[in-house]
Amino acid sequence: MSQHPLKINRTFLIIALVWVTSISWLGNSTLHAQQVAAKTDEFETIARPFLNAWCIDCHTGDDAEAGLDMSLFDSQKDVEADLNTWRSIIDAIDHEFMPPAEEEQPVSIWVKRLKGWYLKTRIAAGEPSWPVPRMRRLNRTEYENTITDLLRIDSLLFTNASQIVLADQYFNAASKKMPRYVLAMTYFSYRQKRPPLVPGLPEVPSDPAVEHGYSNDHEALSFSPLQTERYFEMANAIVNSKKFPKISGLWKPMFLPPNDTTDAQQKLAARGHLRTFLNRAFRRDATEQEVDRYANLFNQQFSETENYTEAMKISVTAVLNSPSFLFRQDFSKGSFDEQQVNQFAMASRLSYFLWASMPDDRLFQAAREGRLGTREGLVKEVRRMMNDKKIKSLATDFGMQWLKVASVSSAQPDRDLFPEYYKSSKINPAVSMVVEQLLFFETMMIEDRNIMEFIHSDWGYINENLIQWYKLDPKTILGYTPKELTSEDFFRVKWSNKHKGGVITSGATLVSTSATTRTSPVYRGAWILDVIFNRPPPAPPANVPSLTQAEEHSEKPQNIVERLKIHRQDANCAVCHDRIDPMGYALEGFDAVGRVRKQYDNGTTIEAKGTIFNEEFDGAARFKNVILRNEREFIQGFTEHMSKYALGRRLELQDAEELKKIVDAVISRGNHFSAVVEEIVISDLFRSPPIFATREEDSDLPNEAKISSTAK
Amino acid sequence: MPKRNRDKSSVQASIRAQRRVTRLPAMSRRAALKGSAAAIALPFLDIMRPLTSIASAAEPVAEKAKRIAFMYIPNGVISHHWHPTEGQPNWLDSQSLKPLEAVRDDVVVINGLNRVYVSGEPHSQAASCWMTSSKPHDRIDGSTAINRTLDQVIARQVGRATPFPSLELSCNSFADNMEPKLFDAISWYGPSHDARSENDPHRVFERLFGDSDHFNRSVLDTVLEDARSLNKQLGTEDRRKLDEYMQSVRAIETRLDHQADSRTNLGKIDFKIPDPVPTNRGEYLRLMGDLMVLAFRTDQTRIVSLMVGPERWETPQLYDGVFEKPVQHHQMTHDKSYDEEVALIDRFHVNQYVYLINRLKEYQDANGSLLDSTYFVLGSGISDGNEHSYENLPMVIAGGSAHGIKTGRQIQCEKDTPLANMWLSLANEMGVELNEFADSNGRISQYTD
Repeated sequence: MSQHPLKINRTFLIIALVWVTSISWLGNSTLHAQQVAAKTDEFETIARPFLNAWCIDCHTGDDAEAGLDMSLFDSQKDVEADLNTWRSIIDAIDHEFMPPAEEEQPVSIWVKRLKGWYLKTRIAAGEPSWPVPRMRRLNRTEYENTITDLLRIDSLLFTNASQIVLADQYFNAASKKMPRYVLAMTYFSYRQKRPPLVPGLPEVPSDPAVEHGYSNDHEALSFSPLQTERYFEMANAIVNSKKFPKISGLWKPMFLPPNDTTDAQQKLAARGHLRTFLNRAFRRDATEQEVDRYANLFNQQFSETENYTEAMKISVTAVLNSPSFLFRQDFSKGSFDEQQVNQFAMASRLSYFLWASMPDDRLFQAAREGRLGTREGLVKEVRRMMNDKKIKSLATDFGMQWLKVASVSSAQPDRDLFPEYYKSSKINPAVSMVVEQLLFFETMMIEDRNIMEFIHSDWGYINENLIQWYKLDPKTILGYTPKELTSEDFFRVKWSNKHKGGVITSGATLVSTSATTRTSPVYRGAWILDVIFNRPPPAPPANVPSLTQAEEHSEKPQNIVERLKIHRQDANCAVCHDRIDPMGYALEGFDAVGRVRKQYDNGTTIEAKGTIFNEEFDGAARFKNVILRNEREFIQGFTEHMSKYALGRRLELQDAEELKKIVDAVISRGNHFSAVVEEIVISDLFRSPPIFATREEDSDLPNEAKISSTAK
Repeated sequence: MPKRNRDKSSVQASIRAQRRVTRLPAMSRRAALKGSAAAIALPFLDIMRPLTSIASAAEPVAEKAKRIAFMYIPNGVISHHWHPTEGQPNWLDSQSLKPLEAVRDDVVVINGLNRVYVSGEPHSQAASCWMTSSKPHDRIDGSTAINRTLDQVIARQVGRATPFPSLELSCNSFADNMEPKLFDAISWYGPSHDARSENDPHRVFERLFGDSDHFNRSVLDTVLEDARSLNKQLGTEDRRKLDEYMQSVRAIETRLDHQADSRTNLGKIDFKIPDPVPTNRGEYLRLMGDLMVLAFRTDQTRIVSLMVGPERWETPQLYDGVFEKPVQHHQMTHDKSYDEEVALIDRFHVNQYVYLINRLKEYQDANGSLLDSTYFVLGSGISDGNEHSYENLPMVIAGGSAHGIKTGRQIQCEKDTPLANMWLSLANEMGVELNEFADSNGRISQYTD
């Protein structure tokens, strides 16, 4: 892979500047000294002193903590040979999991140096200076949406559980307002009541989950024979189904032969239709060679079958299995040249981020007219797209993955302890909890609310089923009109206390982070660290003792909180659990199925105390208040999550500066939901990477100024 | 019972009260497959007739074909209940392996195989690196050492003989995948390129024996041509991605070639698969296993991997005949007080393995039983699930006697024998000429001695 020379230079420049700034901040450097330093062995000047000061005491020899013997890293070469281990080392330090809290903490300037050195080492080892994702196949949602839009099908061709709510007349993005009453027909009842649009249509295979990422991640999406076979089957089934002429807007213009024409004229007409279709299917202008290829296929099939429609069906099936249809290339190297990001690539970046689908005609038009090259042009399209009903994908695909809502459906609270949970599938609380979470996210999105309301809001959606389930007093809920017990009738209400409101204390979160018989402060704490702050705790290493073993050494533990305290007496566990568990304690006032509780089953009082951001809290309401007072922590977490989804890749050290700029801008714009979306789109992350190259040619000064202001 | 410990001990007690001795009922396939069954009539060999009686007719099974199957148990096992006592004449004195008594002359139990744990998430590398061909510290795929796995190494050579070079099956009953693929795939074509497994028995059957009208040769040619011209414009990384696509399209072509030759000889049979597919573990596993046997029988493939479920899977599952309620296998492995229950799950899995051994034995051709020509491996990527231990891994091999395996005993490997030695030996047995595999430092020679 050849690297654009300017880009490499730029990154070195950043590091050099960070370095300069760091040194001068310490007050002991000149530019000359810095130039010399860059040539010396930075393993000796940066990494070794760091390791000696803060790591090696525990991580050395055969019994090194976590099986990580850092004394094996004895030179720059050793590091280059195992960059992936270093990735986790840097992550642990960066996320402040290491060194353990009770140990001496590294000076922040040294952390910065270490990160700069590591980044430089990686780039020197051949990694791109800017993370460029590989091209990736469409994931399931993208495939389903793209096929539906491409074939101009105006009804639900695909139905699957991840869509959650299928009859969604309530959702009117352009109105910027969610209604007071919502009839939300869930996937389950939809499937019971309505036959599938195309009977026998095979399901699109689901995609693997991505740990701390999203299902559009380029590393997770691969092809296997199984996957590819299914695409052929699907395309064939759709185009040949009896319903297809009725549901596809393309049928009349494209699949029916023009009247009273010769074979030659028909072939010519088909070629024209195929060109238009290919431009849309490939999300760019098809090359002459490509048009020839598919026109030839048509001609060959037309001669064989003497049937225009049949030949067109086969040609379209081929387009739907072409790599240029199945692969997204809008972020990969092919999407830009040295001058700029291809306008069509930018159109696809936008449409797959906001709609999880292909660009519509207006977006193609904007690309064709070159209107996606400026921030103004992009913002204008984003605002239009956010008013389209297709924006729902941002809620069902990004929002629900962000909140890990899918795991509610697989949670199975113990049948003896919570028999009511299974009383009737019609009023299964899990289904209602999922809808509750979806409606909340959709409201945040289309009403463009302050994203701090994800932490706490004085409003929400609820139905009779959940009111009974959570044992809420209807009198304390403003705006509720009693309805029959179903999982589908929801009301917008005002809460009178801080137990409800926001995503952390919602039933979906509380249930999916509990064990079958009890709450799990560990799961809940890990959920908050990951979802709210995007600082997922590292996985427990091998050879750690389980809770029960630790428990056995103690006397009569009382409840889960006390048992966890015993667990944390072990220094191995305390390293992470000191950070994880207190977040989970905050939610101990809710039981394993999402209800408020005052005491444990054994009669002891709930302990929901802890400290975060150096502030003490007692109970969920105060916990949420602490986060509200430290808003930047959540805004950063949310921005990072949405960026991962928008980019379809994990975030790297190189991204830190841009992310910081986005967060600053969001805060200055009042934390509106749309501000996060727009700032991501106009950021250099989303428009990367050639924009850097062009700007760097313009001037060095702004860069320098920018870097010295962020390096403090 | 004191009230304070209700959240754990009450469940423990109720599980204990409900648990009964696991005994797999003598099972006909009809019994296993009954239910609201959808009959699928398809061209197929008469499966109820032993192969010997039709051996002179169609010749679906090549002479001395060698087959291999891998059955993978997630989350490890309770080691002290699994491994038989060393040097005991009664080598099957282990609690979890007890069901092997019924097939003791067909199996060899191998003890003392180790893997290297590399700092990082222990469950994901347990599954994804179980059969990997790369050394543990070669982290060629992000944080893990995944490279082409043993089954795919073998498939590239042996797989050419059959329509499907290999078949990947899983009894992961998620409707949506809820574990990342490192936890959910044991078979890999190469770095970050997993061989996706099929978890729906209907789809497996359809894939093996259904019609293939939806593959149009001209369409396949056109898209491959598209891919070739696209390839010229791509960088190295993207080419690798495109290559995944091209390989998979070519696999379809090869399969069509094979099927054009082999379909003519097939008879008809009703193979019943319940709809919906049973969610309890036993029925589901046996159903998938039956499909594996079927694929071998009809020589659709000679290499199968069957994943019992993903690692670290938290969804409660019903182990029929063991507990009356669904339980969380992974969570139980992390609580020492559930050791006895987890050992019952281990034994449950051994029971399913024995069922499949018997199924393979039922079918005979001129060269002996299907089992004789098949190496059928049972194992897990970790030993003790509680501590994520990578030492003394569970490993049983059944069958293979036609190829010189001496069964009916246990082998104790020397100290620090890498699991890769076992894989190297099996690769060699399957006819793949290799001198080393991952971190192997020799072969397990004892099992043919």
